[in-house]
Amino acid sequence: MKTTTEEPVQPAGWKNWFSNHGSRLLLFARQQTRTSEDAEDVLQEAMLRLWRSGMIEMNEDGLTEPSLAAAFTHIRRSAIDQARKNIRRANREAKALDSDENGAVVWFKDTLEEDERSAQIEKAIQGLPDYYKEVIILKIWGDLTFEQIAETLDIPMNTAASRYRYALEKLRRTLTPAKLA
Amino acid sequence: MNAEPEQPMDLHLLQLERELFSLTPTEAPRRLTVRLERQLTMPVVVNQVQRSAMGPSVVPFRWRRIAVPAAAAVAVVSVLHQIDHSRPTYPGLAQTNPGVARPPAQPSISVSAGTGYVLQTEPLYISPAGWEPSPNQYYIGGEEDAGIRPSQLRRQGAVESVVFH
Repeated sequence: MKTTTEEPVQPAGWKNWFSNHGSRLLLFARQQTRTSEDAEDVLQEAMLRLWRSGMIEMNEDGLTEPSLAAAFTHIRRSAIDQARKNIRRANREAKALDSDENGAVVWFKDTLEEDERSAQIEKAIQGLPDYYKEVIILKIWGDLTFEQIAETLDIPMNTAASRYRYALEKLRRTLTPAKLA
Repeated sequence: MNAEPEQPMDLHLLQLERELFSLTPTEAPRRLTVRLERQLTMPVVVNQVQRSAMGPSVVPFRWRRIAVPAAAAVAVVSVLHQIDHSRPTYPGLAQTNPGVARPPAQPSISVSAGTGYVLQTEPLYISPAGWEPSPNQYYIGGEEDAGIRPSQLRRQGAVESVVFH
């Protein structure tokens, strides 16, 4: 039996990078999948692909780290792959319905006085169509430009911008207007 | 390049946007970080397992059953093919007695080479009453592409009336 060993992945500083961006990446992974378990699997797969793809760029401090836009792209592709090949998806969706009803998966962390408002916004975001939801998440919490969003989602830039605006308007109509004042 | 939408948003939308920015996504669970750390720091080992190391190959039972009959069929076809090639190639002789059959003899008439006639051979007709092959050769050519055929008696087949019930 022939065995070859490749160079081990050198995740220099990957922990810092992941601690800075892990939450927003996980948020996008949750939006792209049905359950928190799926989201974690997808995020893990995307991180492995990202590090092994060599898509690393230099940041403002001169340190090399993966591109955040590339990370979102890998998450989306991994989510699509997983959705295609996961034969246990139906079971997980059934569990997801239970989780949603029990409110087990929380997208945002906030102080106690903001809990109610945070839950309201989270519910409103989750009620958006997927094509609005992903643009909102990438723009607000992914900190991407519309150009990067367009590249990540493989849509025209004007489409990304207009979806963002329509999503905000839809959220405003859904949320209680008094709270916005 | 300005990638942001140029159309300004109204105050309510801007307020909503600020409120969304103030929300912080929940952090990735510790178990995910541990899983990633384990996978990213682990050397990637690629095993190229040779076929011989995979143990004896399994032959499905149905193929094992068909192997012997298939080999026998191939042998029979091969033998028949050889027998078939050892016989004369004249059409119709294959159904006749090979011991009696023989190639047709040269016509009894002779044509000199200068006349332009060429020896032709028609398909051989076998008389249904016997096993004697009927040579059926003739010359064709000459100035008017005429044919010269040696006169030779053939056995006539008996024609009998058939009554269908």
